Amino acid sequence: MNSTEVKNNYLSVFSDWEKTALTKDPFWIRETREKALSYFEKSGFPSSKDEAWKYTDLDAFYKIPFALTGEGQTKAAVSAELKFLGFDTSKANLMVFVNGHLSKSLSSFEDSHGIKVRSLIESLSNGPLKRYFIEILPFENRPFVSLNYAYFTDGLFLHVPEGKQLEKPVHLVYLSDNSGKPTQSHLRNLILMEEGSRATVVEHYWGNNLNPYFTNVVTKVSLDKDASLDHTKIQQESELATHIGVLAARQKENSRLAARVFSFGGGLGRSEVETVLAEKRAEVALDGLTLSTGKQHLDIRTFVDHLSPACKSAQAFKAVADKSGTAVFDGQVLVRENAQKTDASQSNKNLELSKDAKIYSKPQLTIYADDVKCSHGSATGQLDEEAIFYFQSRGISREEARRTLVYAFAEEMVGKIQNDYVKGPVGLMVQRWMEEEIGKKS
Amino acid sequence: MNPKTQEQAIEKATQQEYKYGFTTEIEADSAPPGLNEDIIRFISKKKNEPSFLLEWRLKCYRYWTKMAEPTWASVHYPKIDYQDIIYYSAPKKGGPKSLDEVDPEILKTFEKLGVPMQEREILAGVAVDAVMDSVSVGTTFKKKLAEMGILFCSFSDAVQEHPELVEKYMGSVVPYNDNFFAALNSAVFTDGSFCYVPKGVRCPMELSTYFRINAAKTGQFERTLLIADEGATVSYLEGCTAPMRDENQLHAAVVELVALDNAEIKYSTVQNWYPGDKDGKGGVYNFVTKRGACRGVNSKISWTQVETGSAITWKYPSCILQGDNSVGEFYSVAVANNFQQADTGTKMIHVGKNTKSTIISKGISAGHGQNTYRGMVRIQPAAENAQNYTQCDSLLMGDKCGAHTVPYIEVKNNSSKVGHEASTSKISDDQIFYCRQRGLSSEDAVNLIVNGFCKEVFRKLPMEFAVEAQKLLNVSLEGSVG
Amino acid sequence: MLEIKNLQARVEDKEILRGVDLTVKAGEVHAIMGPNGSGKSTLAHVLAGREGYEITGGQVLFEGKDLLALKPEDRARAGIFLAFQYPVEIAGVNNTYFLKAALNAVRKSKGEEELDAMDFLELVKAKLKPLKMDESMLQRSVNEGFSGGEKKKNEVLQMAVLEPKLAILDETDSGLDIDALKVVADGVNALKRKDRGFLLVTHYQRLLDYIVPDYVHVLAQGRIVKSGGKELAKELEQKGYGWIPGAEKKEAAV
Repeated sequence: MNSTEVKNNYLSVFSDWEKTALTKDPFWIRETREKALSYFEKSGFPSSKDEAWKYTDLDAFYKIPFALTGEGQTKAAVSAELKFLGFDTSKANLMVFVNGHLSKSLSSFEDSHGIKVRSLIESLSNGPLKRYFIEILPFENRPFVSLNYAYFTDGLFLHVPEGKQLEKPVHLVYLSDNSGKPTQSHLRNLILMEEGSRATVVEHYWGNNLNPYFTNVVTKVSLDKDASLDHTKIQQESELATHIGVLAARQKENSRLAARVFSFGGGLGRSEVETVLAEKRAEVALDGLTLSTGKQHLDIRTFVDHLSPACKSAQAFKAVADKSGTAVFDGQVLVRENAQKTDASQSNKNLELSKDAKIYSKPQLTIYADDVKCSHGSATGQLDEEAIFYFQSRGISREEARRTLVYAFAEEMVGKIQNDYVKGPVGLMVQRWMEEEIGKKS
Repeated sequence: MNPKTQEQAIEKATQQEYKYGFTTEIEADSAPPGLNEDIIRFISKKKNEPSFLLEWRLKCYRYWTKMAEPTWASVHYPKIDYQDIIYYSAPKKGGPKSLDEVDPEILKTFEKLGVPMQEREILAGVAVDAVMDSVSVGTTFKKKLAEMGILFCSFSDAVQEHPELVEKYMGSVVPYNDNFFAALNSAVFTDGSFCYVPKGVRCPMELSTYFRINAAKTGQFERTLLIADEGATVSYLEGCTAPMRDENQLHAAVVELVALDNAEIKYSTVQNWYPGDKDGKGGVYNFVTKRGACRGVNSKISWTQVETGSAITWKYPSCILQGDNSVGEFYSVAVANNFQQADTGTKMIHVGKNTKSTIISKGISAGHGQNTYRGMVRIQPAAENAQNYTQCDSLLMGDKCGAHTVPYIEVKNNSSKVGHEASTSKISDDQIFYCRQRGLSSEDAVNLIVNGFCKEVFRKLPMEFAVEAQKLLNVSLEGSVG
Repeated sequence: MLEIKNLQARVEDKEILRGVDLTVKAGEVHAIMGPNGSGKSTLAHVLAGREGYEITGGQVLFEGKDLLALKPEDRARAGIFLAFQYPVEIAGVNNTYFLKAALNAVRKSKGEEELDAMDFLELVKAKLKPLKMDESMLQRSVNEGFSGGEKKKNEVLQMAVLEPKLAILDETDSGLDIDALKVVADGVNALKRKDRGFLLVTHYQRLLDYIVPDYVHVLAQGRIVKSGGKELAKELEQKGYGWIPGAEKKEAAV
């Protein structure tokens, strides 16, 4: 199929799908879904002529007929696998989604101290969340976001009231079933942090499926004054998967967002992170590590909108590309007229390990205020031969030397994780990646 | 220094009226406004061109009619009516053979501009090929250069005298279908400069061209072709001004450079087309395609530009580094003041092994000016050990202007090294106070600091151009001692 | 030469100078000492015309004229020189060029002829020697990449070239090792003249071992609370500031 055929398919199956799958939706959601779909009808899928998709080609995605499914079953031994990955799930609110639907039997989570940790679709039916649902990230100009609006099934709803601190992190695990058919899930998370509240959330996409699948996720975050969210996304999809995800935040005065993206899996992976620093002294730190090998195409896109004065943003993204892997970084900082005393930095460092690997880096600054401190840097290179030789001269094999040096490059991003629940497992994933990928013959 | 005083100082320093606004009363021999195949035939006939060139022009025109104007640059302007432009306007009185034959009015114009050709010929050893509107009006030093085998003449003369070189190289670096403005230029270009430096010859003097848009409603579509054969070196200077006019004037030039084995080309531009008035009225639209091909091994092309003029600048002098060990450089100062918009930068395409490129870009934004650096560094799979270093600095003066940095870095070879750094700053109150405490006025302090900011680029200009460039930034010469 | 009468100044809502009185005559060397936050550096900045301070009372006369009415550059041209505690870096601006521009601005205001490049270079080289400064410093950008010592020497060089009537040295000793301090102090001592006044602002007595003052004043909480001869500095070194009435609340950590 080509992009138009896939588009038409999404348009034509909607009404049947809506009838069977969405009987419980309140009216305004149905309305929103339809609006988003008619927008998608006009926009269609992006092409590589689109500046935002210049380096990411979707042709492979169009070729696979991903089916919309109902609730799925996974044969994976979820808790054992998570343990193997290093997670102590007894210390978390664990929510497992299969094919976009919450699996209560695999999950273990609860409300506490007035903090709501719930299924989004159930919460939407019950609560007046319309405002938050539509604000923050409108679907205009965003084909995959409009598709998500139309077809989302579930996700997390987290609400932390004023002054409350969520003690156990929320660990979201997203799986696709292994039914043999190419499936797709559209997920939606909504995180509302009231004044002075704190929470930690882990979004974890994971699979070793033998069939292709497609995950399309939108996470919205609202941070009130002095609120603080620590968010980690681990994209560990199967190499047959297409993963497209956006995290969009809006931050009020003196709020803090730390958002990290670890992009290890997926054949085609695209993770976007964007935040609006809407009130003074808001701070955001965006970090990420991409490990791309085989024929993976992993794309990171960031957008920090400095709308108000005296806000601070720091971005640090690293990528390793090996074999025929591709890594893309497209980051933008926008400093608007009012945003005096802005402090913004952006750094992108890439390591290219093989002849066929590709790195694309596009760090952008757009500045309309004069009293600002803004800088960015991008560096792409390879391992230092002299350092490798130094290792060898001390009796360490060339492969071991390369592995150590690549690990040292990547480890910095693991070191930035504050939360121990995530830090250990991510460190382990990076280490295993090094052991499996570096040194294997290409 | 309080914000108010600093604002005033910056305003004073940045609000110099355009010095070069005067029009010359010369009878023009013009085509009617508008563009169609007849106009192209008219231009070609006027210039007595060989048939291959007419055919090429028509091919370009037909292709152009199917193209859309690009919209990706960060510049905004009202739609250009291409049928309201005069595509041919030549000063009358035939082609001059020497300076004596040049219309005294034109010579006076150059003198007012500070380009006294005769004086330069004698004192500075500069050969000037001056283009007013669309036709080259005089080439100095032609004879002396010819003795060394260097061909330096107007593009029209080259078409008559060296059609084989024109046919071989024209369009080989910037193909006619490259972009909208290049295609337009290819269809309607009227004149420009041509230079061929033969094998092993080092051009003993700076070659210089002066471009000036004069008649109302004329577009200037000049075309420059510069070839440095094996082992040749040449340094080429280009200056541009335009009179003050209320309406916008279009300028769409094409510059092609070819460097063969071990050849070196240095191309410097000071662009001071009329930028429009303080309220953004008038000014030149400058849509230029400049590209150099380092075809040979160890070849080098270096672009230096100081862009202070034009209402809109759309310009990306680029290097295609095909030859092994070839080197590309881009040094740029771009100023966007009042309502000027500049979207400028470069492309460095690394194809050959051990190719190196350096990009230094200094953007200054003042008033309501918007300044964008847009640059691409592409390392092709075969470009073993390629290296690039890029540095883009922006200076903001006032809170209504903008500075934007849009780099595209594409690395497809793992033995290459690519580094990009950028910073944005304003002139600090501490710096201004320090200068004032030593007795300098606040305007002088601002000029001094701006000049220091641009120094790395000015240093790359030939001396006399550096002086001109610094004058253009309204500062007295720095480093006259050091 | 300089008369400060009941000078009061504040930054935003904070009163820093609360009535400073001080007279400096030609040929005298005055040292202003005081604990951190006493207003020493503010006094230096206010005299040089740094904006951001609001003068709320009092007056300053320099050679009988109202100094506070002048712009910073006009104060400099009138002969006031401030050696900065933190000399400012100006990228890309040649040190010699900067100094020449400054000197010629001062000369021009006096109706003197501007110096050309050659004459100026000679002048600078002559001034450079006693400071043990390397000539290469002239070719570098103003203060850019200079070590702490080099920056302070550069300030003294500028002073030597501009030949002010009143030199204000703001914490000139800070960040200097003993050798650099000696060189800087020798440079300053060589500039002492009958018709030139000095105001040394310093936290430590150390500098005064090398540049011996005629008068020492203690500034505390925005006022001069004690004045004396050079012995006062020694006493302060031994006892700190706490014993002086008016300075007791804010004991400095000496």
